[in-house]
Parts: sequence; structure tokens; C-alpha cells
Amino acid sequence: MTSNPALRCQQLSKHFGDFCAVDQLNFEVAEGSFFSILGPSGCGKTTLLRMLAGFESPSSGDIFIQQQRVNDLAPNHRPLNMVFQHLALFPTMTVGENIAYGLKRQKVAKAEQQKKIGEILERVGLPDAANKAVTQLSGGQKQRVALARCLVLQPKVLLLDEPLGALDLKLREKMKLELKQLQRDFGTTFVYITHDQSEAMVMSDKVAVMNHGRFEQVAAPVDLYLKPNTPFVARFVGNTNMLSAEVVSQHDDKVEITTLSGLRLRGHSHQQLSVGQRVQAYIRPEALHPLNDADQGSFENQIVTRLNQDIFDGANSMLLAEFEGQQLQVLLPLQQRSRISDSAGNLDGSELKLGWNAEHCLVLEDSPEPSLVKSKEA
Amino acid sequence: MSQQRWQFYFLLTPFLLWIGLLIIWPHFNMLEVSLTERSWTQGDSFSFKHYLLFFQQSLYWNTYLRTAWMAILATFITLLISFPVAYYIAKVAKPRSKLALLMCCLLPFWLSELVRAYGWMILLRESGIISGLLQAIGLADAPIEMLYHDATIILGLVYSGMLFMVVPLVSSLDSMDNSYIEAGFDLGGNRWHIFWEIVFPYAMPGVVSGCIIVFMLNLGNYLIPNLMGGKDSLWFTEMVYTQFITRFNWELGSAFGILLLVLSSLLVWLALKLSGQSLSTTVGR
Repeated sequence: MTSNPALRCQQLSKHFGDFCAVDQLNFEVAEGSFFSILGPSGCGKTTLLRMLAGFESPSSGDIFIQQQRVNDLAPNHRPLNMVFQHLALFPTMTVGENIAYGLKRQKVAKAEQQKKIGEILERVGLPDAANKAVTQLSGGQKQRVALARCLVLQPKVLLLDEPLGALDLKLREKMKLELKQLQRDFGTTFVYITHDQSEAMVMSDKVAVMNHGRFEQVAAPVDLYLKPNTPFVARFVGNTNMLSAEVVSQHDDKVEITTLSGLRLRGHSHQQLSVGQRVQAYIRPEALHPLNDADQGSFENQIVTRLNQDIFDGANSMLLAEFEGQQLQVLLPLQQRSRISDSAGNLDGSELKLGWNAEHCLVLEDSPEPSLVKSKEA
Repeated sequence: MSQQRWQFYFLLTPFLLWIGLLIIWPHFNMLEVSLTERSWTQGDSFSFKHYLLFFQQSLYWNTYLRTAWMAILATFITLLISFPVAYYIAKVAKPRSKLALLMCCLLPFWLSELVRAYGWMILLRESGIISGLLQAIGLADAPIEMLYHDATIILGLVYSGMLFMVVPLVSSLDSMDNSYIEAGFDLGGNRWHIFWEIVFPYAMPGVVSGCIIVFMLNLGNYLIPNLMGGKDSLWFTEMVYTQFITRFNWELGSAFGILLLVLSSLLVWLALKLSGQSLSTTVGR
């Protein structure tokens, strides 16, 4: 929490009839940081962003931009700008005219406008694009023009509504890094909403994971991945395996659990659990190590599973194994493959031994499957 | 000739017959007739006489210019009234009422233009409904004649042209993403800026297309000026009619016809040049 946040929301809510899209949110975004709101579609993130931009009015609660309450300011008077999902570059104007549109509203003199347009296009790497029509640009170039059009106005906060969604995979990967770089260069506060956890992880200083109109956890990407607070976060951020179990004992954060077939496993938890409580153990695919017969006792937890499938994909190769009727994903790095396979690289037999340490085994109380709302975003 | 080529020409025939017999040939014929001077004693000879007559008689070219001006004015008023209607149908109305509203615009066209014109006459004539109503509530002492003015012609033209303006406007506004408007606000613009810099330029193909169609309909309209304008308001098409039918002066009538064609072509060309549009982006869509 910073003393002077760029953006602050207090008890912010939005109801559509009986439906609660955004539920009493309290959060701050530090000046100059890259803040992402990550959630499945229908979680309320678009509604939240539209409230920040001023296109929806909150049912209750307040929005502050640098200590100034903006609830009653119309969108055209708020000191923030937005990059739209489909960018919304005006098709009847050239690139230069698109950028000039906002400058004209700020009553910048003609000559000054031209200077600023030249400078901003230079900074986003499109120095000669001013006279081009919007339709002449490629997807990535449009992206940069949309950013330039907002950044030239020097907003206090820049909102981004999944702007990378329309790009193909290769370009998206490239633009992720580019966006992060631009954000650092300009030092503008970015609020980025996405349903793609990789976008949020790669670019953000802080990520808020949103579900059913509430933030489940607000943390740096590393913490989000390593120390998820809730079952939803554990399941939504990154791949994870789940094992059903019951609690046997708990000492501080050390937990001992027993699986359905009575196998004892060790894990950790920040929750206060009671003996006999039904829980889920969360283990990341890369924390599960395939063992051969020679490996003995180097891991705190060891299980024997049935190997179902070997999915070869270079560095991202996966093994699918079954344990007590539950499917487990195991990441298999290339150098590990030779340890458990024959000389031709094939895995023999149908049994697969897996081992992992207690520190990579997060135990959280059982909650019903998080309902990822599939309906159209409100 | 291969079978495919044979099929191609076979299917092309109706088009060639139509454009040849009904468009090109009559016009060339008209041009020829308009440049002919008939004489009982010396036979037919080539002459610009009828065109010269048009410029010599102030009644002719005055009517010509007046018709052009009033057609333009009526087109402009049609645009003014139709834009908000089209904007409401395309952007504000819910999808379900959209169709109903478009149907409402179409409804009057189930009647013939003649019946529609009589409808207006029932409302506007001296012994009509509006005149009676004004007298009944004491706003007028005597019957008021509201027919047979230039304004009545404009009214009739706007009414009969609206559908042809609304439809192209709706179709061009319909394709506009609402996020353009939101982006316009977000970047600091107010309603005025958004209308003139974003919405109107976006709808420009529809505007020009609608204007061209409505203008041509207005210019060539015969019924409305004749019925609602009465004897005081001459329309150029009425003069063409008079020459052909009343006075059997086909040569002068043809000259008028050609002049009307030149006028509409010239004004459409001018409108396209001024708006920076082309036929293919407007009417050709």
C-alpha cells in the first residue's frame, strides 16, 4: 500500500438488477505500476473497468484518481484514458488525426500538436506512420497507435481492456514484452484487464485475481503462483494438480493428510484446518518428479500411478498419470526423460512413480469447483 | 464458341436489351430530336434552336433553376430530419423495436404516391382538418389555405423521400462500433466533437448515397409538385410534360429532357467531389 496511490477504490459495487457484477471492492494501484485484473469472463472485470472509465456509474462506493473523487466526472473529464478491446481507432482518420483528436480537445496549438504526434510515434516505434490510414496498419502497429493516442495525453492512469485478445499467438507474445517495456519507459500507471493468466503474469507488478465480482487475491505474480490464497487462485493461475484428501494433523503450517486409499502425504497450508476435514492438495506439474527404481527416499511424498499418456512437445512435454481415479499432469523436461525411458526414448511399462516435497504441496480446504461463469460478460 | 461463352452471352442478353432499348437508344433518340428543326417546306435540319429558346425564355430557365434549388433544399431537409431518425433506429433502439421502426418508415409506401398526396391535401386544404382545427380553437378567424405554396411542395417531397434517406443512413450507422463513440468521449470529446468528427464522417457514404437517391427522386418528381404546388409552383418536369403532351412540341420537350439529365448528372458529380466520396463507396454498396 502506497501513501499516494494513482487509483483507489472504496467499497465499489455495481448491481444489474439482482445480479451483482462488482461486489464491494477495495483496492489501490501504486503510481507508475502495472496492475492487472485477471479473471474468467463474466467475473465483473469489464464492468469494473467501465466504471473506472466512467461508462458505468457505480451502484455504491467511490473511485479516486490521485486523491480526487471522480464518481461524478463524465468520461471526457476524467484524467484517465482507455485502450479498447478492439482498439476503436477512428477509421475515417489517419494515424496522425487519430492522435490529434485528443490533443485538440486539450486545446493544444496546431504546431505543438504536430510536434507531439511526431514524438509519440517515434517513441512507439512508428516514426513515419502519421499520414497512413488506419486500415494500412498491421495488427501490432494498430496496437501501438492505440497506445500512442492515449499516452500522448499523459493520462494519470491508462486502462487497457484485453487489447491483445485479437492478435495471433506469436504477435501476442511479442506485444506482451513490448507493452511492459513501453509502460516502464513512460512510467504511466497501467490498469490491464485480461482473462489470460500468462499476459497478467508476464507484464504485471501486481495482479488481482477476480471472481464473482470480488478480488480473491492481490499479489505479485510470483506470490500468486507460489502462494495462492484460495482454491480458485490455485486453480486459475497456472496449471495445477489436485488430490482429494483428509487432514490427519496440523502443526503451524505443516499438514499431514491421508488420501482416499489411506496413503499419508505431507504438505503445507496457511489455513487453520481441523482433523478429519476434507481438503485438496495442490501440486504444480513441474513439482512432480518421475522416479526410477534407483531413486529412494529423496522426496517427502511418493506415490505410484498408472501412466496413461506420454505427450511429447519438446521442452513442454507432459505425462498424464492416474492416481486414485484422479488425473495428474507431470512436466517432463528433456534431460529427465532419459532417466525413466529406454534408449529409444520410449517410456516402458504402465506404472509411474512420482515424488514431491511438502513445500510444493499446498493444502487448502475443499470448496466446490469454482464455477467459471461462461455466460456473456455483463 | 464454347458452351460457357454461349451461356454467358445468353444470360447477358436481358441486360443488354434493357440498357440498349430503354436507356441508351431513347436518350440518343431524344438528343437527336432535340437537335432537329422541322419545317413543312424545307424538311428536317440540324439546329440548336430549342436550346437557344430555353435560354431566351426566362420562364424556362427560371423554372429550371428553381426546380434544382428546391430539390436540393428538400434533399437537405430530408437529411436533417432523417439523420436523428436513422441514428435512433441504428444506435439507440433495441434490436426488437429496430425492425418495427423501419417498418413504420416503410408503411406509407404501401400506398400509392397519389393517395399519399391526397392525404396531405385532406389535411392542408382550405376546408381541411388543420384549417378547421385552428378555427375551432380560435387561432384563426377564417379558413386558411395551406396548399399550393412552395413550402407545401417541399413538405411533400421530404415526406416521400424520407425512406430512401433513412435506409442507407441506418445501414451505414448500424455497422459503426459503439466503442468509437466511447473512445471519442474517453479522449476528451463532447457530443458535438463526437458527432462531427466521428459519427458524421463514418456515416458519410450513407449520407451521400441517400442524398443522391432523394435528390434524383425530387428532381424527377411530377405528382407532388403538380398536386400540392398547384398553378403557382411550376416544376421543370411539368414543362417537359406540357411540351410533349399538350403542345406536341417533341423537339423542345426533348431538349428539356436532356437539360434535366445534364442537371442531375452535374449536381451528383458535384456532390461526390465535394464530399470526397465515389459512386462505388456510396450508391454502389
